[in-house]
Amino acid sequence: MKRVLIIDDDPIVQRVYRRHFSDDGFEVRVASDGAEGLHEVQAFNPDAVLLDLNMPDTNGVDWLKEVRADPRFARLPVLVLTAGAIGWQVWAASHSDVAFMFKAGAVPKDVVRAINDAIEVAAGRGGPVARAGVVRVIGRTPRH
Amino acid sequence: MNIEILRDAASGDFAFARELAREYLDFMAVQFRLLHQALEGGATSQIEHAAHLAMGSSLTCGALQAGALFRRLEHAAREGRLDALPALLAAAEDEVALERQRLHELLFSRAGPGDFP
Repeated sequence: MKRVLIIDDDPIVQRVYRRHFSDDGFEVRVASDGAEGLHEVQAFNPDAVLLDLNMPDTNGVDWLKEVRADPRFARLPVLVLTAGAIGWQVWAASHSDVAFMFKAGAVPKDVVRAINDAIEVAAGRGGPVARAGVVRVIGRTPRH
Repeated sequence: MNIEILRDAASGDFAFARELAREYLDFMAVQFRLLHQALEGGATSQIEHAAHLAMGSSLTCGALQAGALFRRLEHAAREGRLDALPALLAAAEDEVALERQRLHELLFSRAGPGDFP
């Protein structure tokens, strides 16, 4: 069974994505802050991570640096799902091999598909979703 | 309320959409309490974080106008514009109150299992 770790302190995001990933056959774990996320990466050994950038105890960029420093997780597929990122965060995260989606435009099914694609890429089977140094912003155009 | 976004979030499951809507409104009540406490204490970092969370939840559920107001609140707190915060918080509360009414009409006023309009 595929495993995904959701790191986000937003209970609505947790609920929505737990449901969508479970429906797609994933085993899902949820972490509400960076420290819990680091613990779960080690303990759960996920196939992919859905990561928020704004966490109570750290930011996603520093979290990524720490995780990427461990050779076991240097190529772990990570998809950043954020309500809003400022420029330096996008720049820094883009150097940590991630894909980006914004909550305003994200369709949960597309997020699940992107994670599946990223897992395939990491396994050497799929298309170019999460290549190093490339920020891909995917999802529908935000509507207001 | 953008019902298409809510329907996508709920995977087309009307009962789950109702659950999400209830959780969203409960979560907003908690966030507003935190925001008022932080505003009284001048704790801009707490305002920024609470507004950011409220923005993410709103956007995920399709409450886009509320999400936009929380974004403005978050930015004002980050920039230390204390004078702008009370009006933005009041506007966000008014918008969420409207969303509560819309959600009631869309999801909770229908008897039985219901379906999306």
